[in-house]
Amino acid sequence: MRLIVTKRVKPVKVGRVDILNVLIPMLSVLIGVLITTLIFYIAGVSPDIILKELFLGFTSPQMVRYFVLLTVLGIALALAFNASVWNIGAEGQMIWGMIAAGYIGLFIASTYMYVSPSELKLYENMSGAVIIDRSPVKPVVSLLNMDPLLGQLLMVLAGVVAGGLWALIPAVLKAYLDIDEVASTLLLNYVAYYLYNQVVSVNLRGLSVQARQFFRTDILHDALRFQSVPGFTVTYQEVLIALISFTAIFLMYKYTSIGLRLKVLGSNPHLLRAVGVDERKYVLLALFLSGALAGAVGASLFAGVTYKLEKITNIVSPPTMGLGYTAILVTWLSMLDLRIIPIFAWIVASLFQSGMLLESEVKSLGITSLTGATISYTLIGSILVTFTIFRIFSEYTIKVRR
Amino acid sequence: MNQVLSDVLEIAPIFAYLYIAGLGHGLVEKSGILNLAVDGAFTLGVALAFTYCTYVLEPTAALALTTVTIGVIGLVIAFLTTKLPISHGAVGLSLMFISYGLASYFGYPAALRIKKEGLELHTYVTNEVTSSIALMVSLLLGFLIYYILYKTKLGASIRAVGENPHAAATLGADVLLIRLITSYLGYALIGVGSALYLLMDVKGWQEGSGMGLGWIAFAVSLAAGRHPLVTMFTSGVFSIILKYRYTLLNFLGPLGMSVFTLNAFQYATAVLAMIIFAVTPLRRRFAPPKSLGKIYFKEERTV
Amino acid sequence: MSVSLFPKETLKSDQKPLISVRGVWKSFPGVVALKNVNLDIFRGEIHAILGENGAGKSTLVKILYGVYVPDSGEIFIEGRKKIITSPIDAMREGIVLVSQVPQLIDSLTISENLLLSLTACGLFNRISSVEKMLLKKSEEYGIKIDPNIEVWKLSYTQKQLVELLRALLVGAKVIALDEALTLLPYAEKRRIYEFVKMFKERGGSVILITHKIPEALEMSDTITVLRRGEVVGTVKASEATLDYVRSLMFGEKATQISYARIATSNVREEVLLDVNDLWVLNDYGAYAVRGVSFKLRKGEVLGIAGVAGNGQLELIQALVGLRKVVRGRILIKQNNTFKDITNASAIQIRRLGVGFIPDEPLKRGVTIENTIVENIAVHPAIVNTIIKWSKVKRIARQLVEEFSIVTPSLNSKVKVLSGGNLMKVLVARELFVTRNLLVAYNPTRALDEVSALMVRKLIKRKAVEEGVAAVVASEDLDEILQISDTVAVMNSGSFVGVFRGEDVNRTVVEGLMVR
Ligand SMILES: Nc1ncnc2c1ncn2[C@@H]1O[C@H](COP(=O)(O)OP(=O)(O)OP(=O)(O)O)[C@@H](O)[C@H]1O
Ligand SMILES: [Mg+2]
Repeated sequence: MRLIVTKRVKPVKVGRVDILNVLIPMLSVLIGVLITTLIFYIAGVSPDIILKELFLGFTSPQMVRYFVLLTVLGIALALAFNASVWNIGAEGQMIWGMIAAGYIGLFIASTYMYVSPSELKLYENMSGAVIIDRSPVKPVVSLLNMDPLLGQLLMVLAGVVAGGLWALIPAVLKAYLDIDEVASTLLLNYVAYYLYNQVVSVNLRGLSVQARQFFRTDILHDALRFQSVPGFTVTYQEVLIALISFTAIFLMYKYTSIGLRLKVLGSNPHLLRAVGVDERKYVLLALFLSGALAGAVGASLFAGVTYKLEKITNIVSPPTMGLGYTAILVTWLSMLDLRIIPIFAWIVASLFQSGMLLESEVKSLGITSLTGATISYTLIGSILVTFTIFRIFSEYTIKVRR
Repeated sequence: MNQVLSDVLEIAPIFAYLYIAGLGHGLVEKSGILNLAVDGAFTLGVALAFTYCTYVLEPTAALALTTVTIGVIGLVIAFLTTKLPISHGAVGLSLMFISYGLASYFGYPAALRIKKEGLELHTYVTNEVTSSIALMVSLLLGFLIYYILYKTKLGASIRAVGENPHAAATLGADVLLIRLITSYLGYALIGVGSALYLLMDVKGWQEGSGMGLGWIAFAVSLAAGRHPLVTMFTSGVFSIILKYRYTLLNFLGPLGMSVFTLNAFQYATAVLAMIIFAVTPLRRRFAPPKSLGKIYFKEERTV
Repeated sequence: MSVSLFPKETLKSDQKPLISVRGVWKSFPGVVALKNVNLDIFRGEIHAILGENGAGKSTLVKILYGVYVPDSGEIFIEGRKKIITSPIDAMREGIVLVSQVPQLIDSLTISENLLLSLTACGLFNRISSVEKMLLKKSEEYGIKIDPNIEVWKLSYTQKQLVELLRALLVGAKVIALDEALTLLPYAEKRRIYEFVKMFKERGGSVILITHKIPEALEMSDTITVLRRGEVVGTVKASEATLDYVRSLMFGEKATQISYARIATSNVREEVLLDVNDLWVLNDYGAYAVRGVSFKLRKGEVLGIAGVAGNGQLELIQALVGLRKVVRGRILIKQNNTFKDITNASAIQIRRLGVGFIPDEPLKRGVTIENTIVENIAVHPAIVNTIIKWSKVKRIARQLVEEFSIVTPSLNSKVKVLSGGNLMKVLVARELFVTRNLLVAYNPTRALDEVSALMVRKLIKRKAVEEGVAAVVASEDLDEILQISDTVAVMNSGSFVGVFRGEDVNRTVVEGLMVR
């Protein structure tokens, strides 16, 4: 018996829609969920608990934040993937976004200083001043240096630039030395994690007692933090970032030769060269834009959630929460189509949220053998592998010959 | 002299697991399969070795079982990426995620059991004898892989399939069979490496044990251009860094190195090696296989 | 020379075919490549398969060799039904394919490459254990080859010899040559045809695919013609004529084919391009172009003849800014003054109204995953940063009509087009952007005679009607003679002879090419 794989001669269409392109991702999510449920069923978690938490995940208000961030990251990766530049380095690019935003937020847009305990009263009522640390020996005060909106804008811009520049390293290596970007972006994630540790525990280390103790920066001035939308954890600024990047990238693809060339770079780089376009510059551009958007997400993580940069103690849980990898799933499931990305960002964000809900639920049931990591990794992995396999059916058919 | 010998034996266990895993990874990639599941497989291997050890109470049996089981991941990857026109990156990453998940899935109950029943984990005793054995075995494996790759028909086929699977098939190589064999061997070696890490080095398990070390093995192999004998050298360097990082910092600290930059440096070394291989005449010898990670579809339009 | 490796059976006149193909169908996206094909190959015959581009010739032999699997249909070997799904299966039945592009692994040595084909040899066999045998066998054939040399160091001819050696080593009963000899220099091609004849005399069969009909008539015993995936006729070579085979291949279009010089010509006085003492390096750092100078007038077609690899490609690339000029100057006339475009960027040069037809159209000419419209918009001379799609669509529609490109719609992906139509998309776009100069390299390579003639006529028309100057480098001497106002012969990086188109002597040119 032999399996014979051949190209599908005609797409399977219903009306004008290539039906498999819709069915396959949906089916993969379903099967992935089933596999995970099965695995947990074997471990003793009843399926109704899992299904209930999954349902809650899809409607939980906290999910919206991941939805927004994953949309931006999904676009970031689609930019690169469409150009056949396989950016696995969003994690590292986000890390540098966090660092840059942290630097701007903590050192440019505001100033931290020790004050004498007696002066503390003075600062308590001063506008623009926040007391970060009430230590009786060396209290720390943060003073705002600029308009908070400007400060926030600068943080995001810094994140954009830093993420973009970090992504330029593998871009230059790919464009000019033909070094595979999959390996380099991946390895650079780890370089970024450890350099982040160096930076936050040495260069940006804060003044407060906790910061000294826990290898971290001081905490961001209240006024510079992103404001969350009432009832949600997502912030206005993040929503804005998502809207702007979606629109800008969409228009770029639709109406500019830059967008067209980025697409052609993905399908045939030799052609670009032959018509006189330096394809290497577009490799740089693809990764720069991709890294820049990831950097913006990094900045949001700092200014919208953590408010501080803290040493990574276990590589299993970086401050990026592995979103850079999760986003690969979003982009992949959307078949690199920008318009579909929000849909899968929502689905994946919900599953991400469900994983976290499940973890606490399972813990409260006393089944301590399952952790959040187990759940979300298994879920992501099984959806991804099912999809990767099923996906080929949109272009190929498989026959069995005897 | 004795000092040197005992220093060598100090790092021997680390060297052994890094080198063997690096060998395995290099072997898989030589056949053209982009091996992004290496870290997942290593992490799962550590958890499995731990689990087996808890239940069979015998380190060598645990080592053997881990080797055989992790090899199966290799079969899955080789089958999917060769039989189907499918993205190596996606397959590798998804198996990485699943392996991470399964590592906790198997590791936790075993850890609980040990705690509950007050079991003692039967790992290897790490002394000069066992360290020398580990060292010898890893070196022998290295020479064996070198021999297979460069002196046998299997090796020629592996390299052919990695360079250009279409031409290799046209010449008469069975691409699927070759990749199944290579990938099973490669993953079995990654399994050996991960089991040795547990049984000779850490001897205990918590969530995340071994995570990131797979990438170090990846880096070790990449920095050596996937050459089995050069990998010996890079593994040596990396194991010295892993073992003596704090001693090293006594020297490097004043130069501005910290434990963090030293860690970052390990991964950066692999990137540096890629750069060196790309810009120097070493290019031809150490360049990655031409079809590494390329989707293989038999009926590709080739005009 | 030993004969031991040739099949033992001598030519018998039994009527049982060695291979019969029955009712084979094969489809690819957008095209049915083979429709109900039947074919018989007998022992000891040379069987030519002819057909225009995309007729399905390669598909058919790839099916025999197990590279492709047919959608339906059967293959019988010596009367027994066989399922061939891989080259290993095919070689077991004694079928070997040699294609135009050598299918060897560059980084492996010759003996390692050949070892892969020796299925009798176990996986754990030492490579060196077979080296001696290979050496002995290759000497038996008078092929001098160092088995330990890596394949990337070989010349094209040597690689093809290794491929043939491989076929003999595995004891092939049938060797399929899919344009395997097309690119070989004349003398070497002759030498290999001697091997082929010898192989046949020992009872071996050969499937010969070529675009050169006279060659097929001379070499083969039987000719099968494919048209659009269908067998339109099988004839004895001794009973066929050039015109008859052509009419089978092209139907009524066959009458259009001609190799006569296109005489219309309209060369103006005004010089457009001035190339002075040009020196250009090849990829390996050696001078490929050594001091080439010429002046090109408006409306003039300069044909550069030469055997491949004598610097034509590098010269062409330097002209369009894709390769660095080490010494010398390239000047182009713009608004009555000469502008220096030596080492200008490709995009600057293309903006001056320079069109470029590259070799390997599928690679450098179009992007098959994108639509026709996008393939036109990709050119920087057609769009600005902001794309006006309505304008691009209008251009696309105009070109599709003008060049009668057969396509489902303007927004169809180029990959659904046939090879000829795909080439037309490229030529149409490039001729559209050409306002001053057209640079072309092998513009009709791999095109069938009808499509090739069309492309040549279009180039000529652009020169005559619009005063565009053209530099056309081609390895096909017929093509050069057909369209050139001036013929330059390039050998080892220099022009070794320059002739006026109307009084060029073919034998003289051929002599200069291989001097
Ligand atoms: N692997 C493939 N995938 C998709 N389409 C293909 C493939 N191989 C061939 N085709 C298509 O099938 C048709 C027949 O192609 P084939 O290569 O057999 O033609 P041919 O007679 O060899 O032509 P040529 O003279 O140009 O070599 C063409 O339309 C071609 O585009
Ligand atoms: Mg062909």
